[in-house]
Amino acid sequence: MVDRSATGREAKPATNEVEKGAIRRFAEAIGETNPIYFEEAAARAAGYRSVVAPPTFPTSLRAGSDLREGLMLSPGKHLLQAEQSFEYARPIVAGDKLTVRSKIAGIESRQTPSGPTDVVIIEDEGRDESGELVYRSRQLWVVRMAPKHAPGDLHE
Amino acid sequence: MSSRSAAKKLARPASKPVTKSLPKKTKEKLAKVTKFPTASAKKPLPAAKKSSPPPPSAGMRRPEAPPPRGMPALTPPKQVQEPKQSLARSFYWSELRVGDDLPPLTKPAIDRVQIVRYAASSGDFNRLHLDEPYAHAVGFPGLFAPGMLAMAFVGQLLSAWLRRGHVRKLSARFIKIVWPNDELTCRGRIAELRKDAGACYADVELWAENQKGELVLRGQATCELYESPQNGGADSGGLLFALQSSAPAVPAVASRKTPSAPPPSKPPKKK
Repeated sequence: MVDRSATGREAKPATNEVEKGAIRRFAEAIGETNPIYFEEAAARAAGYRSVVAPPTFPTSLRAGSDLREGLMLSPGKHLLQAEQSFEYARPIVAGDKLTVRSKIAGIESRQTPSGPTDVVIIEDEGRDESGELVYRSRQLWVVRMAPKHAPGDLHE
Repeated sequence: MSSRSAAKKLARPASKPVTKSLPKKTKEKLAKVTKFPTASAKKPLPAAKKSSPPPPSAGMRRPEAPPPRGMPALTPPKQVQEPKQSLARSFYWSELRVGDDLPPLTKPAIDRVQIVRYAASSGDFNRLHLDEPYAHAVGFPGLFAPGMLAMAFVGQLLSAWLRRGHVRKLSARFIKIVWPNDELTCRGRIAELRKDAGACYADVELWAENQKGELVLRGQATCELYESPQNGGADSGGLLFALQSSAPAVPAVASRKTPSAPPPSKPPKKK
């Protein structure tokens, strides 16, 4: 069981400067080839202020601490990410300075065929220098024992 | 609905020289012909895999079909040749149809180097994805890719298709573990087209399969698109959305109301 009292815990906000190099390395790592992620000119031609971040790039933006680390899981248990959602108020581009906040939005028990499992929901948000919301991220992590039966299945 | 499809029929020959019924082999050419700046210049979208079902009329080449001998071609070849599950390469909302398939994206097999690079660039150093002995020790057959890598692939499919559009929401549920050497094919389908406060949205179902055809990820996206070339598109050079100084606030997080149900309620049609 994950300590339920961790619900509501917040990380210290941290400002992340979105750098072209970080976007490029992320895009390269996922095998992107679209020039809007690599070249300023291509991004501008497509209407962006600068090199634009791929949709899942906000996963690399971090608050001041990793809330998963304070959960004190019992030995042999792991957190595996099972769900992710992003909402974007505008595109994220190089040069953005985003202040990222993160909090544990919930710790719940889910019934699965192999018994009840704890899930941890973490929500992040990033705001620009004027305080405008730029994105929200919600991650659902499953607390999982080492696999015994169906090593390939994340759920059920 | 009806007015849109009527408009679409009228607009298609002029605004979209690329017809949806072209055989897949021509896809690489099409990506260049369209001259869209975000279309990948270095590498065109990988051709659809064999596993992708050919459109019902894949064999019919509407543009090349010679007009019947001795008869003036009064009408363009019949619309019935349009495949039901067409590949939606259009990037104007008015040209899209519910049920359109996005061009699939087959990625090269994932290897351990890619997993390491992804960890480094995303800043998530979970040992289960990086440390083979550790993964073994805790009972996994070996290290495996983070689900977020598969989601990034789906994001690539989406943004390659969207071009001038804009992703407003993207969510995914990781169904099955992705292992090194897995070769993922990402697919998408337009689930809904709607207008809200003057903006045009396409809701898209997304999913990714491994080389065995197993569903590894299921996702959804909401995209905002230009309605038509006459309406905010063309060469105005900017995303309407990006240029709005007072961008509308992100709508209330739907997932907060239903934290357990971001994935689509019905599974994508099995291919």
